[in-house]
Amino acid sequence: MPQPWTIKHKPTSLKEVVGNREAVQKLVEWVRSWDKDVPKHRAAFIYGPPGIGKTVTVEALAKDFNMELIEKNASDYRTEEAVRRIAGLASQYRSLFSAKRIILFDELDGLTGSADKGGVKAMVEVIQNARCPIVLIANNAYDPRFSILRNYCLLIEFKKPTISEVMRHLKNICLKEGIHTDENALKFIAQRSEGDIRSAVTDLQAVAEGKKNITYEDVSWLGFRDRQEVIFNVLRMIFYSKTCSGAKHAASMAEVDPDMLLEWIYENIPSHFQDPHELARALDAVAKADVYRGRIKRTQDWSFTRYMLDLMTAGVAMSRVSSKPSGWVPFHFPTRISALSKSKEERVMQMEIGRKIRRKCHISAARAAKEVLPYLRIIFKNNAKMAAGIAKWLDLTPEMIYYIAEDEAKTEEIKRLIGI
Amino acid sequence: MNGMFKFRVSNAKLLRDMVAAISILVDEATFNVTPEGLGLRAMDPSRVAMVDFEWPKTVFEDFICTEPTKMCINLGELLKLIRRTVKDEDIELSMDEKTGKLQVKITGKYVRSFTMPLLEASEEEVPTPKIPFNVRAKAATDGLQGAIEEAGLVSDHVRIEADSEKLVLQAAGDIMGATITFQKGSTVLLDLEVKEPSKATFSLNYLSEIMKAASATSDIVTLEFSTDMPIRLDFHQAIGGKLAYYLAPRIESA
Repeated sequence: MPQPWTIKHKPTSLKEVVGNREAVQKLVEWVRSWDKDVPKHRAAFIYGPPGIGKTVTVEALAKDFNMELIEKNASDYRTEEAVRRIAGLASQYRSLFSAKRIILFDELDGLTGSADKGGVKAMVEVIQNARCPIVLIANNAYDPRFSILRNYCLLIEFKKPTISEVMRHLKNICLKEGIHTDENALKFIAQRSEGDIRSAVTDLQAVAEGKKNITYEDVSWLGFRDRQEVIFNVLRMIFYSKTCSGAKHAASMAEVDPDMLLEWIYENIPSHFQDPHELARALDAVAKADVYRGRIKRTQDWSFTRYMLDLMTAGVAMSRVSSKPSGWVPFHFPTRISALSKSKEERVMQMEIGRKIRRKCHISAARAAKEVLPYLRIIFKNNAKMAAGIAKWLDLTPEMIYYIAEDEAKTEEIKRLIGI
Repeated sequence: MNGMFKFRVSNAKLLRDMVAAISILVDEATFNVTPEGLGLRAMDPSRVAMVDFEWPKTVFEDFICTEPTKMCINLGELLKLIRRTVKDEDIELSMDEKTGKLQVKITGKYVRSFTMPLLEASEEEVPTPKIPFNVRAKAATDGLQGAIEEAGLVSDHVRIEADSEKLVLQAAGDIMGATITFQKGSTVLLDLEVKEPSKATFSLNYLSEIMKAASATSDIVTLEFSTDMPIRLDFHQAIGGKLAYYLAPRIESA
């Protein structure tokens, strides 16, 4: 079963961690200082944007220093009691297996609202009395919720790695996977990721699926994606949710508008629903959602959006009875969107010609492009004299003439007849 | 679903006490069921304590297991079902192949049969801690349990210290203190072997929970420890098998 590359190629030693040399050094020195005496700060607070290797660094550190890592996510420390019971105890006692242990509170941003206030309070107590290093990780250490916590922590900022650092990491992965890549393709992926290594690696895996050779063409569609990772997670939740509410909730997390989400869902249903009956039901749900989309467009009655959303999320999720694809199935960017964007230049040209026709014929540009243009094409291809007359009358540019005639020689002939 | 299993214990109390003894550390327990018997090794959520349990198939009246299987159950729920059982009742656990659920059948004056879900087994393989022990002490379980309770009156942790003559429990609370001494060869401290004098501090909460739960299954416990290393408490099982706990020492402030 294929493994996500973010896990398969996870750094196992601090040496392999991408970027952030200074921050890593600061962390290492702090952990070393525990050997002498309990340092001033009993906890380190690592912060920085997602996907740049904060958690990976702590995991690699534990491995390098042969420490037992006790890793806790937000769900483990929601309440005061949970923090005391698990971390409070763990921070007072040695490990059963290795000489030292380190406790990691990951995804601190996941703490929400007043329900978790007790959790933060208990965490401060745990840190004050800790007898082993504690590491906290969050995206934003300066969130007001963490104001008290900050006083007890050594703050370590992790910055986004540079594009060349990300590229080097991607190149290493390609080497290990035996994939040839175009330098430009890697650069493109690295740039798109904006320093988010995790999403860069996810992108790389998505484009490398079933290929031994990656070119710039293969990655160019990534250009349209906007925080792909988020949408991947949303899609996974929609496709594999067991409840209606789970699937509907996922849609609210998507950062794309409902129209775009519909495209994503439509594109990816066939690869994620392998049972034909389930696939039919899922596509049926999407089709009905699309009917509502049409009605919204036509009537501008946006209250229909809820039906569209429910059908395309819950409707799709409920189509699954039991089947599950074996192994890891990647998500793909909607081909319809990339096709549209590839044909963008052509559509622009058509509309420009349409506007020229509009001025003379008093019909809309869209209608002109759709209804008049095909006839012009036939004329331009067959009757240069008549074409020249029309071109002059419509005031077409040479590029337009070439676009309509689709032929170098014909274009030259028409241009000669007009006299340009 | 992989292999199936079915095993029966003629004395329900044995199973009840054992489940209770394991449940003090873990809520969801993953047992390894093999043709040789039943076993489990698990750590509590804070990873301070570990339980190592084994029952060979000779403990059971009947034991059928076609191939090694993992059985993960919620011990709290199981304990609820078997709490009311008594000594001369007979208890049988089996996996229902059709539903994939655990069937608990208790036969006494009347027969009751419960089903409960099998949970997703944890994949984590807990290794045995490798510790060079310098002290090995054999004690009567009830005597040691009493001493632990007494130390618990003044503090929440206790220092266990041994030299060639005696075993000492030293508890220091904020305002009160306690020293409990066992001389070698007393009715509580049955035996004491010391390679070199050692001491380490442990949580009284864990110790008293462990002593309380395990004393129901055993009369004799063997303590093994070294300076600032985990302690091993091995509760001798008259019926065969093994029930041992490991407990990590407290980190003493420098």
